[in-house]
Amino acid sequence: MKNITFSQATLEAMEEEMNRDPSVFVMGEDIARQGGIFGQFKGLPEKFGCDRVKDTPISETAIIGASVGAALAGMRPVADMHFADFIGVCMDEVFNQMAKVHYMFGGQKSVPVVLRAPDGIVNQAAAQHSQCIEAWFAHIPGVKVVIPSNAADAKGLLKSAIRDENPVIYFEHKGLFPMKGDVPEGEHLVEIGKARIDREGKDLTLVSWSMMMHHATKAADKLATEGISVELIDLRSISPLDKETILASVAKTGRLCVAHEAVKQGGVGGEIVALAAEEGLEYLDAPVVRVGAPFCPVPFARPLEQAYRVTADTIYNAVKKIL
Amino acid sequence: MATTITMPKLGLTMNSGSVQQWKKKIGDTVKKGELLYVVATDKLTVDVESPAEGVLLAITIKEGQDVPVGAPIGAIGAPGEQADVGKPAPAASAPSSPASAPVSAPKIAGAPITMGAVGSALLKAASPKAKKLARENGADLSIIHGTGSKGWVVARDVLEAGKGVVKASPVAAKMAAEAGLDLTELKTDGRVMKADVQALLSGAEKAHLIPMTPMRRVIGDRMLQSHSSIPAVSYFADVDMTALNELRAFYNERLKERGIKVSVNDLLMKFCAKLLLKNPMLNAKLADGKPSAFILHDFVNVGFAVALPGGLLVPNVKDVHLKGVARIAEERAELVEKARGGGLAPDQMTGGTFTISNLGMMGVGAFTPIINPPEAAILGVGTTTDKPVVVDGAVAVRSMATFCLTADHRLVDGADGAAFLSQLKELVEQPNLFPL
Amino acid sequence: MEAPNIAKISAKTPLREYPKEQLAFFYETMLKIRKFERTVEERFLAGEIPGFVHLYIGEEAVATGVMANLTHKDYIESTHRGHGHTVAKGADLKRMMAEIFGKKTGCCKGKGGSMHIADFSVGMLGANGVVGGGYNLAAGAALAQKIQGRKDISAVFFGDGASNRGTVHEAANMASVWKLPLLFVCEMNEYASTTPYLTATSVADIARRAYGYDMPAVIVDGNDVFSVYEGAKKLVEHIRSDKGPAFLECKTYRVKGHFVGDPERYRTREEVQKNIDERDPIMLFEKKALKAEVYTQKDLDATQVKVDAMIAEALKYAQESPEPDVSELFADLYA
Repeated sequence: MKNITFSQATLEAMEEEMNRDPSVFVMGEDIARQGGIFGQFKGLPEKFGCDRVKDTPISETAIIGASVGAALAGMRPVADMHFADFIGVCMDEVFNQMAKVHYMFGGQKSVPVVLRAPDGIVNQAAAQHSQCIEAWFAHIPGVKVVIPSNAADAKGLLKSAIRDENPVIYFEHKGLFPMKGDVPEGEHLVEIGKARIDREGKDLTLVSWSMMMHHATKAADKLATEGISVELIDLRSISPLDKETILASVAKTGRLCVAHEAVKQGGVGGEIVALAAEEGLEYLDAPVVRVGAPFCPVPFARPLEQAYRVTADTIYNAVKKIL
Repeated sequence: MATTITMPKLGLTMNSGSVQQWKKKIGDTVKKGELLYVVATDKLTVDVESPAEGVLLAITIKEGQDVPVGAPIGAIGAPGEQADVGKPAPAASAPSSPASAPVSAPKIAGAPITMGAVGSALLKAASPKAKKLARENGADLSIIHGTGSKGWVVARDVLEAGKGVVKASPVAAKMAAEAGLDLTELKTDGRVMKADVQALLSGAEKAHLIPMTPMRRVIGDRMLQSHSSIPAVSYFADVDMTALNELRAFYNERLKERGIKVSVNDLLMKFCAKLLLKNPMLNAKLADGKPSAFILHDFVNVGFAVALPGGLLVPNVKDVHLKGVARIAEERAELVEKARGGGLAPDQMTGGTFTISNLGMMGVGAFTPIINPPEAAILGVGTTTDKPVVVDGAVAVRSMATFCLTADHRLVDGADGAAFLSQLKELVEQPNLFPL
Repeated sequence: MEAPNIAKISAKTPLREYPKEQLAFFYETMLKIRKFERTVEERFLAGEIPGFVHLYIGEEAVATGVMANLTHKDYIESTHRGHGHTVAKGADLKRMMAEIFGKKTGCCKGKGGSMHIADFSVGMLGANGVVGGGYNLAAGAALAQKIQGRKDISAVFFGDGASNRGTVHEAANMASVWKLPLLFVCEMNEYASTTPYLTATSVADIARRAYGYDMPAVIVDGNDVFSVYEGAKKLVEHIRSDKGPAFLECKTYRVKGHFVGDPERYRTREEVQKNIDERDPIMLFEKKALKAEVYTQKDLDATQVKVDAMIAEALKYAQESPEPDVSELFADLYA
């Protein structure tokens, strides 16, 4: 094990995969000369040259479209979206091109593209630079969506995403980049589509991911002091969804809470509680509960942003209502 | 305007029902709230009050005809008014739109709540898991205090309540809830059944209430089923038991060394087995208990009653037609012993094809036994006493007993029943005929 | 006002100097497209073909003239009106027709249909149901070719309607900045769906926009296969010599409606007929070939017969092929 930051973990993943496979290259805004706005690409151009670590024009549509085209021509592009929010300017390339090509062309060519999408609230970045939008992509067949919460998973999932033959959207919470964590030495892969049971418990299943896992952990700790045993699941993959792990846990605990930073309405939490209702209703011993952001854009001013944020206390209070 | 009477929905799960009995005839005046008809569903029968005041103008379904919930079954209106009850009620199997017939909510006579406890239990807020647990354990959610979120009954509440043993059948739970009874007062060693609650409701003082044992309940259920569903006919014959008793004494002398004691019953079993194969309708059973098809057995398993404190059991000796009297006696003795010691296996109490009930030891002259379903007939044997009888034109004293054969007329016609009984009488009186 | 990047090119090479195979490719390919499209139209109207069908009739010279400069290692991105590009790129007619029929034996296993036809085996990376959806994909394919050090190029076809999508700007800029081996082929067929191009387009010559990306551009008569070929040849040579992207505008005319069944209220029958009579690319080829005596009428007739047989075979194959089994619903959702 080594204790490195989330950002370093992703850098290791990039380096290892670019060394392993010459068809892997990365492009995006401000990644070569600047090393990425969160330092997540630092040193890569020196090692692999500016042909494989490409600074692009501010043309998100071209970045994703060209990634798809390059994949069709045999490359394995990693496209950096700068901010996840900007995927909005190129949704056609994401859901009509990238997600469809393999299926609608009868499997003639896979599309091994990774979209790296830094998301989440950090430093009052406000409405257009703070969003968590994983739910959009959970609704699109043909893409996979992963969302690590810690350095080890960041590395393992990024490596798996790069090796996956399918388009993978890799959400990395901006607040996670400086956070340190233990990462296994050597080759470390994390299977896409497999959730991780962070801690076992018997009274309540708490499903979370990304930055929210850290808040969920605090909430679970507080509940533990009251004798409430929480089974905490780090979802890690939004699509495909690890239904088995979730249902098995709910069968054990009888209670389900899903907590995410994204807006609650239409969020992935709805999909997960619907799963419990559809396939595990008789496991439930309490109403399901979703914890998510209020239905409004991320505000700028500090007190407003603080009020908007989902925290450990938000989760704790929600959980208390169903115990 | 006439009020259409429709098949009421009595509980959430009811889809169809039939009118078991109309309490009024067409033309009768009825008051609102007066008992009008009795509905039977697959689960229960319910007295239903008239939803309106007036004259019963029409009855559109036959008694016993199954119709969907909401289907018109009759009408009440002013004298002479034309009842418009639409089309004749369709058969229950053909789904009809309840919307096409306005359902006038009936009141169940004497009940303060129209929605049964089963329904209210479903409406009671309970977690799906608690509901599943309750269903599996026969717990009544409506009487369990909920401690979960929003007052839901949750799994732990059901488990907690379970410690106080409040397992009840849905009907019992409904009755208890309607009467405001606390089922916990009705502790039994098994589920609280309808009969338990009825006993409580019928004015029996709670202090003296003695719940029935499961065995008694089974007896009760089976006897009621038999008595209320089988068109039984009883045939009597006075039988001279002299020869049979001599034969018995002869066997017992021979078998003394083996420690086997042959009873009158053992011999009767053997005789009956022979004759039942000759008269197979008495050894038959109805397929599915309905008079649409029957099954003829090519074997004879003869049941006999063993009296126990607080009840009785009816084990049966298998394949009597293949066995000798000594073997029958041995097996019978073993079954009696097991019955008394509580060691009978379920299969030793099921599979009978005919039963002999012998109350001779008790000094009973004659009695009409109740058929043990699904069997077709039962033989009741009274006590053997010396009686003056006419033999060859002269009065003589003979050891006589009265046999009563009770048979299911759906399977056994009078002549057949009589033939069997007379053949049995002949064989008992002249056992030498047996090998013939 | 002429833009300095634009050259207007008309065919200069005498027909006699064209290799026989080149001429045969021109004629046979245009005929294949024409007869393929006529058959599709007929079968669509007969109710045999589901979905939407957009025909390439009248524009055959564009696909043919451009594709004559490409090999199977070169890539193309096509449009919703993509049968012609696919045929010209060399796709198997049987599997194409089966795809349009929604059959299991189609080149996309019946998952794509007319608007989403593709044949990667000949470098045809797909038609696109989204107008203007192909630019950036083509730029990416060109980027891959460049990174991989290949001498192959990519071409993206689009109409005057698609030239107004913002996507073209990002692709053109990126291709120019990175000197990607990418040929933009604008099929100026006068109608964006049902909208006459000048009512929706800021310039008469769309090629002028290439100036903004520092890209050489050529304008040709898109109905003259020789001009298209020669114009494209010049640009393809430029691209293959690693000088970056180029822009070809082909002035053509969409003889058929936007889709089969289009009531065409936006133009007159006379206008359409005039174009057919005076500018039909196949008729123009035949005239020139006969005049230059590179072909006899007998040669032309023989080609017609040959192509008829190919199309008949493709149709039979499509009609007789099975539909996909429902068990294939999830097949190829993920690789």
